[in-house]
Amino acid sequence: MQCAELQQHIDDRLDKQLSEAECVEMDAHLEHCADCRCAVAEEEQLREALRDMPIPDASAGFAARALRRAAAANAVNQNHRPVRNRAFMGGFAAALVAGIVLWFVSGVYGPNGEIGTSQPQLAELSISLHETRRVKLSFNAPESMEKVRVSLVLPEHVELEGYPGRKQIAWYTNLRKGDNVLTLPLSGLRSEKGVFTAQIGTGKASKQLRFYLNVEQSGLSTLEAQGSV
Amino acid sequence: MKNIFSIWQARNTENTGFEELLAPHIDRLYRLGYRFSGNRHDAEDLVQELLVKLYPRSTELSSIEKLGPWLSKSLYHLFIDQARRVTNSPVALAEGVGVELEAVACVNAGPDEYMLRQQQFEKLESALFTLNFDQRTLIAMHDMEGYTLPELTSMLDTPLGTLKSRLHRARASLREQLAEK
Repeated sequence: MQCAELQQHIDDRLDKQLSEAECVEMDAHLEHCADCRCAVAEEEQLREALRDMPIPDASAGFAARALRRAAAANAVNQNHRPVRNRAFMGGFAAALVAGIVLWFVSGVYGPNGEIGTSQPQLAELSISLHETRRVKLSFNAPESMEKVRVSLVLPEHVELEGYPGRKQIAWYTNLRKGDNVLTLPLSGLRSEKGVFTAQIGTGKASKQLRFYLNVEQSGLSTLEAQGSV
Repeated sequence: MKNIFSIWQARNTENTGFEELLAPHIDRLYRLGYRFSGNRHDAEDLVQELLVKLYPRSTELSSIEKLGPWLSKSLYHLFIDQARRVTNSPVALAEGVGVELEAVACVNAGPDEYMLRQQQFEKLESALFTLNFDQRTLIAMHDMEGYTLPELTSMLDTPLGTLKSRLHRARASLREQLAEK
């Protein structure tokens, strides 16, 4: 076996894809070839580094919370389905309504997965003070739409990362048929509760979604971690 | 909201098997999600979305013989779909803002996390994220999370030879990126 051939088969060797005979042949070459030993060692080191790359723990209670949210989100979707079907019976305005009835707000539930019940009309999302939480809004459009105006009105105690001090943000966009996802990194400025409003529409029709954003006091451990930076 | 709450409770009672079925797999799914996405928020979002999609299919899930690999495969496809959807999505805050927001979200991943990362890992991670989705996910599944080639041929519906070639090219790209950094 020559160096070039051996180095072509390093991946196969480390992936355990070589036969015993091929391994013996490779070992024989490695015994007297420092360059190839070095090449194999480098590849082994890379694999080891990849395996050892750290993964931070999921947030506390994530597994249980995620399972509860899966159940809750399915209940929400099921509850909205008839509204969407009705909307298909109308014209453009009805279609637009259909396009936004399926809002999935990641974390419309409290920290333990419960759905807020204190306010009968609006869902509630809780975020921790000084922690950025990525909230996803999903627009399900029954057909592609052009020049749709999307506007957000943030409560005073919440900020959109990258837009300090901005409480109203609006822009035009196109929606394609199906899901269109908008991710908003929101952070709480002070412990308070307020209404977040999102509106989508054209000149002919619009639809508004409102939900409570509740900023809760962070735990001691979070404060300590930030203090150490 | 009261109505929604009661429906949730009712469905939860009907579908108690879902939690028992999925709970043992969530840690591994999160790990894989983290390898794909590179941050905790996205990894959790990814796993959460998978669970939401699978919840109505509880009965079907209970009949799957090797649920772990099946779930990993589902997570992989969901990630690829999401990544392509984000790339192609017409919804954006404004020109250039999406990038800025993503960067902010990464910075906020947590001080502890940054303190633990060594220089080598930062370099490696940076190189990994220059690879395309397919290359990165392949390295994540095989070299980082230890899925074997035979497992991946089944999970990704790809012949062994093709998989080996792709993996070989992905590693070569990674080595090139590391050499440049």
